Amino acid sequence: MITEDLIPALQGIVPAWIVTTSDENIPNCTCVSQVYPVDETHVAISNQFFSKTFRNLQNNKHAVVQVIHPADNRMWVLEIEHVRTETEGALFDEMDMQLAAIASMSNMEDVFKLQSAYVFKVHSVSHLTEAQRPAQSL
Amino acid sequence: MSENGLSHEIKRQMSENQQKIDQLNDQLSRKTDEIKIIQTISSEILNTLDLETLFDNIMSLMHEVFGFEHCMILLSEDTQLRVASSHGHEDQGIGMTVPMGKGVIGTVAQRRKIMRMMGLRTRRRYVQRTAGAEADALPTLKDADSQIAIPLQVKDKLVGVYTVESEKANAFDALDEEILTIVSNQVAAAIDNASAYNQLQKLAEANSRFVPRQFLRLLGKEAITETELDDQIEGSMTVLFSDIRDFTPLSESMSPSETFAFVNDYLGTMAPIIREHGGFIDKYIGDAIMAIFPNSPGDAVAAGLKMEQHLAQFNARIAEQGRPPIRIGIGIHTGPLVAGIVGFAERLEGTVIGDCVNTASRLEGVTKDLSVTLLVSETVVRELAEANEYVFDSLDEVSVKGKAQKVQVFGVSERP
Repeated sequence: MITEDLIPALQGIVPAWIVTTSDENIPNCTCVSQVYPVDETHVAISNQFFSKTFRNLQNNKHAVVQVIHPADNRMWVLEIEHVRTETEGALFDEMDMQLAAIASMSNMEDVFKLQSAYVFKVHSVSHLTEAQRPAQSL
Repeated sequence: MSENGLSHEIKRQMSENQQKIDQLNDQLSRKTDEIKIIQTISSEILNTLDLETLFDNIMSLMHEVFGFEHCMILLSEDTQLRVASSHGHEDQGIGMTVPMGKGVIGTVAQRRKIMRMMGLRTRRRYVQRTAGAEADALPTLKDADSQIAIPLQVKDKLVGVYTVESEKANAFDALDEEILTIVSNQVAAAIDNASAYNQLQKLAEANSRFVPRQFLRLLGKEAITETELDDQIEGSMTVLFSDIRDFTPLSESMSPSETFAFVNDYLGTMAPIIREHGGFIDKYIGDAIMAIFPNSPGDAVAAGLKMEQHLAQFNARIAEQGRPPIRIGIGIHTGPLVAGIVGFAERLEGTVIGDCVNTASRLEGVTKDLSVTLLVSETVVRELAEANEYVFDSLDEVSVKGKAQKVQVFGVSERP
């Protein structure tokens, strides 16, 4: 599902947008610095501040994320579902390390701390232009 | 399934198999390439103990073979890393430091894990804007947007960090990471070896200032590590003793640090003369020099006369500083000596032992009474091959402690 062509869009070069919904079905759209590729069918995002996005995901595990390919600026839309939250392990370490590297440049390593890695199963991947049909499972 | 469908299925299966074969071949060829790279790297590129050459070799390997244009090697020092070599950076940045845990490089060093990071500019901006904090100045490529950094480790020891940067946002992929993982162990081992060798050489150099190489050679040793207690050699050698006369009252007029500077200035003038004449300094005793000339008494006499000449220059120099001239005494005697290692296992010293040392020292003491600078014993005069180059002046007979017979002493000057 996550093919080689999509990988550059999952390197944090251009920030991504994620849409979640509250228990009253009010959508929330926010910017995330990176959608991490985990394996062929999973991606992850970092939880640093316990924002509304993560509150919403407790209620509705389904979300839509839009990533941008840095080479051609084409937008891809991924339908994702939160399946687990990691606070340790290889994925968590890698994401934590990247955050620490950037944050420490501005002496912000104590502020920008990875709380957890939210892992999502990817249900579909499409170009934005192809995403005409309404998201099915949202 | 229809015949048509079957043949279609077979075709599909065949094409699938072919794809798998191609994939395997591809993997195999990559493995072969990897092995080739590893062989070349260890046998040619990293096969040097000279750190500068090694850095150059690593940098050109990374650039020419792997296409990494902007690279840096930082060596680890306790709580920080220091840029030891850089390639493709406008500002070389050599000597700049990165604290452990700071930035991409510091974090890689602290966590001992490779990191590949894209979109550095965006990410940095994100943190800066959110936190309202400026980034610290760290050694980096101007406008770097992608970076890989890898810890260089030998077993559990962190040797340093290798990093490659690019202005492009998406410059490195998983393959680059893999290549670096393959070569980093060898690079780390090569740097570690060269650093250790470098350190060893510095140590040997420092050691040779304390135990002269000539002394070791006399004992038939190449390095101080070969010496042991009881190593010794006997032979006829010449001892030169020299001392600043009335140094104690002189030093009372100076502060301790002035005294130190003065003595070092004086020794710096005199000591090279010993060496130039084939001798070596066995020890300094305050302002006194005890030197050994293993080859011939002629070397010692020539050195003694040269010291006399240089004393005049030294006095002229200190006169400019408003100091009164100093006088020195030099005594030279030839005789049987034992050069060897003395002490006990934990504190050894190379030294010479023999009556000859006492006699030379006694002669130096007598210079004051006889109002001369240089005195040599009759043995020196007798054994001097170049005797006809000098004029000897028999001055006195002196007794030496523990010796029944008096020693005849001579003043020396060059034959005009």
